[in-house]
Amino acid sequence: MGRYLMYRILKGLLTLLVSVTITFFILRLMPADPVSILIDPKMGPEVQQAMMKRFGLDKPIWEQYIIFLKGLIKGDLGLSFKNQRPVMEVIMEKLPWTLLLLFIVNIMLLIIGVPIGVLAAIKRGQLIDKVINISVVIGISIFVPFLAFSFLYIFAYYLKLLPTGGAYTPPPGDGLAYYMDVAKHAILPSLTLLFANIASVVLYTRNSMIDILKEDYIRTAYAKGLKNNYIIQIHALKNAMIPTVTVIGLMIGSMVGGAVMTETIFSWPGIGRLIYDSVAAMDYPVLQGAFLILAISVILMNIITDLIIAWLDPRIKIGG
Amino acid sequence: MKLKSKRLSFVITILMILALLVTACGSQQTQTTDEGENNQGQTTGPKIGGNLVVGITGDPYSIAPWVSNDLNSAMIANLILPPLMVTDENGKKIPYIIKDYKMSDDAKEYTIVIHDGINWHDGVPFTAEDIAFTAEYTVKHKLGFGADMFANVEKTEVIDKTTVKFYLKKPQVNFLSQVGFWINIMPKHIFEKVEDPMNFNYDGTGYGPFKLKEYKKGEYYIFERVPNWPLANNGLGAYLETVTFRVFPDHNALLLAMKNGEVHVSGSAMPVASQKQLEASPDKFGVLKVMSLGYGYFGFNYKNELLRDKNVRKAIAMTIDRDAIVNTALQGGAVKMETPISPVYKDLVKSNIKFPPFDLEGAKKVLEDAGYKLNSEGIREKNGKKLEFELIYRTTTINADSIVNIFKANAEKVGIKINLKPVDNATYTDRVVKQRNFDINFIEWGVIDDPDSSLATIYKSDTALNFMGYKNEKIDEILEKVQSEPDYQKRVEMMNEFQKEFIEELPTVNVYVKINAYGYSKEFEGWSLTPGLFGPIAAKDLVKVYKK
Repeated sequence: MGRYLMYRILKGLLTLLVSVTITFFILRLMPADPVSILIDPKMGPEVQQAMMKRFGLDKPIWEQYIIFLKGLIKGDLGLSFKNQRPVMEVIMEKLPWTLLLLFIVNIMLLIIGVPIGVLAAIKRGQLIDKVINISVVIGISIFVPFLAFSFLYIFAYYLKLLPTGGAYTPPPGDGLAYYMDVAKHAILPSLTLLFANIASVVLYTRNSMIDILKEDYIRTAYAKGLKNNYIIQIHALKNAMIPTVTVIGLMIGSMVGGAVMTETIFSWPGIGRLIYDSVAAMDYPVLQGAFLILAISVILMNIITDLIIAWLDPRIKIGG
Repeated sequence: MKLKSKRLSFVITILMILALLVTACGSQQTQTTDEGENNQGQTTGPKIGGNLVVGITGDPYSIAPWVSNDLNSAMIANLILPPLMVTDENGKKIPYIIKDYKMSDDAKEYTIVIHDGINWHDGVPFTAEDIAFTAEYTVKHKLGFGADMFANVEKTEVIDKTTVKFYLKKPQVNFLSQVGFWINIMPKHIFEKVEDPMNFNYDGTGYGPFKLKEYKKGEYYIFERVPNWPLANNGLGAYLETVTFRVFPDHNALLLAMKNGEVHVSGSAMPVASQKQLEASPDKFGVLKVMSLGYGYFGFNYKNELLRDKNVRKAIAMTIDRDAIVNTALQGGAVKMETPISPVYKDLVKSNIKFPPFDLEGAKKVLEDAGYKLNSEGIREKNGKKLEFELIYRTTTINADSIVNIFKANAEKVGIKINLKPVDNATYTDRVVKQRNFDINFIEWGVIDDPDSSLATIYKSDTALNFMGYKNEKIDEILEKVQSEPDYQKRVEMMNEFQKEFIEELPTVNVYVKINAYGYSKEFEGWSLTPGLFGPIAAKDLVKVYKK
């Protein structure tokens, strides 16, 4: 177990190095630079040069890369071009909001998506299965911004039940009022992300459930006279969950990226929104930091998923 | 496992209860605000009170305007550090924090007198020392606009608490109207100890009608009124108790929040579609409109041999259908610009010197006479060189696609082929600003202020923003001279000369001036605005707003 974990972490670190390197160079391959974007009739070339120097952009690119790596090892992601604040600080301010959103969405995926998948599998071929299948296919193909705007229109504008954006109403309140306010603001963005992602969970659960229900040991369980629910929950579901867990684990990584659109539409102050704003300002350091977080979350989720699967399926022997 | 499923259903029940609670709270809140409105609706006329929420699209880079140069930072800074000079209804600069000023006849000495009785929010008096300090400090630390605008200062002399004198190296008639409009004065007592302003955590101490109460970067900024601020409402100070800025990612989100009553006024200029939505409920919303200080134009790159031919530029200018662009492409959200200088500046366009009018037949004739003949593909050519150009434009400019397509369709009617090249901001900056690698460019200037004295920054042959690479000795001479002519009337005449030369040369064809529109809620009254940077959120205008 220890050796396996060590191996996975080393592999993860290597992946991380490759990904930050690619990010670093891709950002700098963009035409123009953060200073020329700020060009303005009011600002002379001397001031622009001073800005380039301040940003460290006057140095050759490989030197910038070395400086960046050195900083990275020390946990220093540099200063944001936009507002001169440490990138780490900027990201840490936004990260909890994204994590909160992802936490809510994943919990809902499990408690809503899995039972629906199971239901579809049990009622395979019946009307309810068909309805679930069709809804899920619609869900998978729906354009996320369209969905988000529809929710906004219905719940925020038409019914006036929920706020249109942000994570809370400024100024933030205290105690319970604040949490309720945040919960209210979180409903629409989480619903959007839930709809966009629930299809995979339902379909994977359904398909693996169908496969498992054909297995000999399930027939044996029925033959023993066990109750239907007991068989489904104890014998079948645990095994059927393996592909579902894998999918959710892999999805979390892409969900952070996919949150760019949802967070932007709902003015949710998370990492996705930060990426959107920073691209517009060509804020390299913040983008590097945000992509680093994305890479870390994907790698971490992969490791965690492997561990959970090993726990679910004793046949997979870690480090074996 | 049974137990687990019970736990699951327990979680679901809790969630459902939570959801119910949330909706219940929501409806309760709307009820209380309704009652609040009814109670306050009985009293009329301006009085102190009210919490205004301003929606802006885009996050202010910083609350220290000296280290950032984005419009949103400047907007929030304008409440705590209002400018020395503001614009009047014709876009001309007039004193605000300044009581009076005098420029010497040679435009090399400025004596500035500020209003008495203004204090920094921490109680320290706001004096001439602060202005002198700002001039020196921004140059020393190369801070944003200040570094360039104060670069011409030779010596600063503080005469007394409210009087400061600037001695300039060379004559500059727009010194104060530039500096006073663009630079926020720095608190000397705070910054004199600061060695590294870029990494200094400025707390927002200002001298304006509002002071910064609290903020969370990228989310909200709350300001509260400064009681008895001397320059507002006869020494009463602003009416509004607090002003809260909320940051939205785009116009749609902002519009929805306004219609939902979460935001009372838009601090960012709204697109036409948003305006129309608000105008559809005139009992609840109003829209304030004012001409922008910038304009949209097509520019010609003189590196292109064919575009260097005056006849080609003239023919293209004659194919531009301003009516179609303003009414169709911009949906009426702009006014035609037929003069080289924007119609905002009334004095400067009285002369009525206009670009060649829209005339396709005339354009054909100009090209025909100059020897450009139609070939088999329907494109004109001369000596084997085809009139085929690439038109580069930014996709982020609102309605740009419609504008360039109208341009293209008309140009092709007279036999000039136009290839559209839509690009993102960064590529545009790279191609047009840095490399100057383009044929024709379309762009909207944000702000071109003081055109009677500052057009040198875009049309003089040696400046960075002359993307066209255009050089005309007469224009260079006028633009140089006008900067040291102290008499406004004489400057107006000189700029008429400039405009005459400009419509002959046509380095750019200016097409329209955007109308900036700002929606507001009728729960608040007292709105006003002048052509400027911040619409109704300019400190001078916002202090007059009150809750109905």
